[in-house]
Amino acid sequence: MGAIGKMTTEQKQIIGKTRSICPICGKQIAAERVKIGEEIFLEKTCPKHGFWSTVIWRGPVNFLEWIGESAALGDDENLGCPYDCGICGEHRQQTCCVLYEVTCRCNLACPYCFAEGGLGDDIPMEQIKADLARLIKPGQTFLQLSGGEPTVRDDLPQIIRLAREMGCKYIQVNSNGLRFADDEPYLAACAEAGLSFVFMQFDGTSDEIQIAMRGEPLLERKKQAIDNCAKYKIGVTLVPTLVPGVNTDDIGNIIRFGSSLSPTVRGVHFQPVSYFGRYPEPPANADRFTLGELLAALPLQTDNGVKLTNIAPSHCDHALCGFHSSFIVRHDGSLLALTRRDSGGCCCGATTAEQNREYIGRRWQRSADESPCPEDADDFEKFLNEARVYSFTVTAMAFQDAYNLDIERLRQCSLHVYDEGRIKPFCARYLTLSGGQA
Amino acid sequence: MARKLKCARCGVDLEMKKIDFKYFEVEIAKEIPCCPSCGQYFIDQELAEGRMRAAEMELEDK
Repeated sequence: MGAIGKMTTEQKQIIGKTRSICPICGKQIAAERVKIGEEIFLEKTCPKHGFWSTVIWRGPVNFLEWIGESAALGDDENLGCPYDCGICGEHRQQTCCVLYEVTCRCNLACPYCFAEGGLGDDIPMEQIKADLARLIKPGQTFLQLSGGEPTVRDDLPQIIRLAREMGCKYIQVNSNGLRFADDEPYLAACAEAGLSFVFMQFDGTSDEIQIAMRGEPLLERKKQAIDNCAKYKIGVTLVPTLVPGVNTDDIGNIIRFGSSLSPTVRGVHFQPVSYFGRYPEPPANADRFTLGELLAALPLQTDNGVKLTNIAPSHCDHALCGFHSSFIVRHDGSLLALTRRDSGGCCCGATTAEQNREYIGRRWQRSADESPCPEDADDFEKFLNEARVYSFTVTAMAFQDAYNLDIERLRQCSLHVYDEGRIKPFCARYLTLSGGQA
Repeated sequence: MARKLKCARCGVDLEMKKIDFKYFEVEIAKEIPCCPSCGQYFIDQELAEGRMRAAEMELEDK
């Protein structure tokens, strides 16, 4: 809030209204999107706990143009959000991906983690069977097995097989990749059971970054995990958590690293740090890296290989929750852009969760047929073959925490978590109030 | 061409010509029947509903 203190009220411009929560008591309160200089803040006042101002956008990309015509929150809409969540009739998006925690144990103790992690008993297989039976829609479900670290369970291949037998369309494991690096037979068993792709924590291309983020020099083991996934034709999406001053200068390097390992690495999914679960201390605005800054960094750090015109705001979730960009990795290693900012979605600008699921599912999964085109294939066939085999996505998801939570965004969330029989938006499920209260 | 196609406007035989299909940064070249007189070209159903449609899916976030 230090930056706010230096500003006069005349310099503030209210550019939008929404609702949020008090980070201390959790009560839903009115909030405003406020422009101060070149930065946008979410500002709110709790009658009991005072004023809060959190930066939500920085950089040259125009905030209002980026969010476009998103439907503003009506005065009588979503008044129980996020506390009556489950999800309710007022929620505006179906499930694209459903996350299911198979353990709370982990083999790392990172300073940053959305899941608080720790010790505790794993969910028994009988419970998993019952839960999967409730959440899987045959032929449709995109399941993310998460934790904790799901690979600490020796029976993960059996869980994957079970999900596949129940009709899951895509099965993704959200992992730090360490066991896949160290235990190749285990990865082989996961692949054989029906694993579609791995969502691999990958914070940077140096051990300096790995140590800062995860406490250990993990780079070689990450590379080994990717090599092992290559052997079993398991696609890997690299997932960096972006923390200002730690790895925000490494964005371009991560994309170059990932695209150099195409077709095994299918893309990079950036997640600007958010403050829930486990984080070192309550955040200052300087501790935040906004979606706007990420957008600005991409062309700068990739020598314009990823241009702003190639990046489209999420049409499935809220525009402030993420973006996507699709490429082909060409033979010379350069990226051929397939996405245009102004082309996404259908005529009304919205994308269904099913469309989004297929968009990412078919790009993050390695092609079953990676054979080159026949000599006499025409350019259409060659293009389609390359788009299938050498697909590479640059995507992002900006999670919300108690400080920047925006109900307008939350009600459009398509990334859901199965939680004791209920389906909840990710940012509602992992919301942590100041002081650690979930 | 299995059959000789004539241009409906000019009445002359179409000739195979390399056409560049451009979409944003992507260029795809293909020989298709064109009218040598007016330049109008013919895209058959198989191409329109097959490879062109699939390419469109890749290029339009579908």
